[in-house]
Amino acid sequence: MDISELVYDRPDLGKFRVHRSSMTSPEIYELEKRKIFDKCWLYLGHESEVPNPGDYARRVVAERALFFARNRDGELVVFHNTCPHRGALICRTDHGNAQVFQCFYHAWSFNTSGELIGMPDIDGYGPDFDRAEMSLRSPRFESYKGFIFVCFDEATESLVEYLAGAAEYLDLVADQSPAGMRVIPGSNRYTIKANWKLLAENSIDAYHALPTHQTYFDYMANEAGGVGSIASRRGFGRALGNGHGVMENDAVYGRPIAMWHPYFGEEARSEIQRIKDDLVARHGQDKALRMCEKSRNMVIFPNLVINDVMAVTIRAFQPAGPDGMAVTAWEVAPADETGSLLRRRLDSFLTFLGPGGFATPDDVEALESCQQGFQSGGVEWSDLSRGFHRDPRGTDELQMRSFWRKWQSLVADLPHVEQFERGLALGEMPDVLPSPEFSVAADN
Amino acid sequence: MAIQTVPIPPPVSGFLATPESLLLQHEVEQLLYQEARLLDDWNLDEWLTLYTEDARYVVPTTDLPEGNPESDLVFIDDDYNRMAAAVEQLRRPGRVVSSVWILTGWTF
Repeated sequence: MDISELVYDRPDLGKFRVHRSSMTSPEIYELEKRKIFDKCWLYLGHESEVPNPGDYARRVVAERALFFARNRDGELVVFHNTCPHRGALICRTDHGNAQVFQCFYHAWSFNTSGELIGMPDIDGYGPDFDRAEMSLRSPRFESYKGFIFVCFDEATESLVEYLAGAAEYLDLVADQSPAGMRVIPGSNRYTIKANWKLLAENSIDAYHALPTHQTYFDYMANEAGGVGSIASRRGFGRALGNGHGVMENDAVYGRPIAMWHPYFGEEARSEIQRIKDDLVARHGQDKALRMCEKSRNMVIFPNLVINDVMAVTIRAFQPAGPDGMAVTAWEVAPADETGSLLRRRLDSFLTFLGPGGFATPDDVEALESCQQGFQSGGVEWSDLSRGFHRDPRGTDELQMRSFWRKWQSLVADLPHVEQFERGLALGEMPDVLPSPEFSVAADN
Repeated sequence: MAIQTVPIPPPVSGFLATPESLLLQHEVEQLLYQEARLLDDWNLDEWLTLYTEDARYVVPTTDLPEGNPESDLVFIDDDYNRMAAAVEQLRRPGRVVSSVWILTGWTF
């Protein structure tokens, strides 16, 4: 199988297929590590996780141990989590606060800016010993409105260029509160025995919502007021450039920002209206109503999901071989949100998005089921042609095709051509149905 | 004995033990063994009967073991209704197949 033919993309024939070896082959997995995870901007963490000087948090991103911190001057710093001396992990706890980062192996010590400030028996090193050379090493990193990304390739474009149309959608989360957004303490970590790309697909797939998540809708039907019908909601999928994609839909449930629902209780009605009025005043009617009354599920290529639904989650999934991944999910809320709105947000998160809730376990089961199905053989290709022949609808697969086109171009070193399909250009609002013409726009 | 949200007395300090504390420890241990066995056997209906209707089932996250469900992200923060719904979810067979009926009537 030629590496450049794993995605069969024929709009003229209405066919879009992905070869299943892309989700089972160890060779392709190794290729992905070099061609995708060593090249793309990857989500690391959120600035609100390290608010004070000395705060730190550790991560593993694409199999690389890293940690980030706020140095003594209040600046954000990111380090490879390895001692420049002999290699041991410097940071060995998930989060905390420290004045000095000390390696436990030989007790070399570094300040919060990563500079080597001491080690036992310094006389053992001669006059040519260069302390600066032995400082902690930083990968390339940039922050967009509090979202911190790293990139292991100097040649990759800047973060904001890389984000392309996804930046606007990050704004819709980041701008929800004048107090800023914060990551709530605690993270949900779980593993899925499935290829990482299956979660990228699943995260922007509205087609599966009704069949897979019946449990959630059954449960919510018995809650105060239930939830609205997702079969009748308006929505669309959109390619955001560079393989990023989003689904934007009418919210059929309450949103703390800011759509009242009976399960918030009457007492919360005025508070939610106040938040909504404030958003309209600050952002204008169009943007504010989008923030309040639409839900969004976005994939930022390759392995980041931002779901802005009944609660907001950041999910990063790290590949672990061709048939496994490790997911970490965080919850985001306005920094000044408290009381019943925060409690309702926490509860809504666990009900739908939590790995012990009524939706995520069903997604996990579906993904693992796909991976098992691939092993059955007999079928070479998976089909993602839904909606190819018509104006894209919320449950079509345009946004997934966009992901796979970027993937194909990277693994095979092909130029990336962004096919927005039927006029869904960046920045266009979808209330007007997209024009039926098929359009092809060059992307770099 | 059912699992309730009543505070459990603090452990007896030092090596002092009273007949009451030994009995309580025995009862708690037996209850936990019973719960583990019911879960091992996937006997979820009977597992649910161990809990009273004012129960709250909280599982904090691995990186924040002291997490408070009122202010922090946890794995599970279920009341009795949600525990019952989870039992229903976990034992429902073939739910994906059954919902094909819904798809056939699905219009936009």
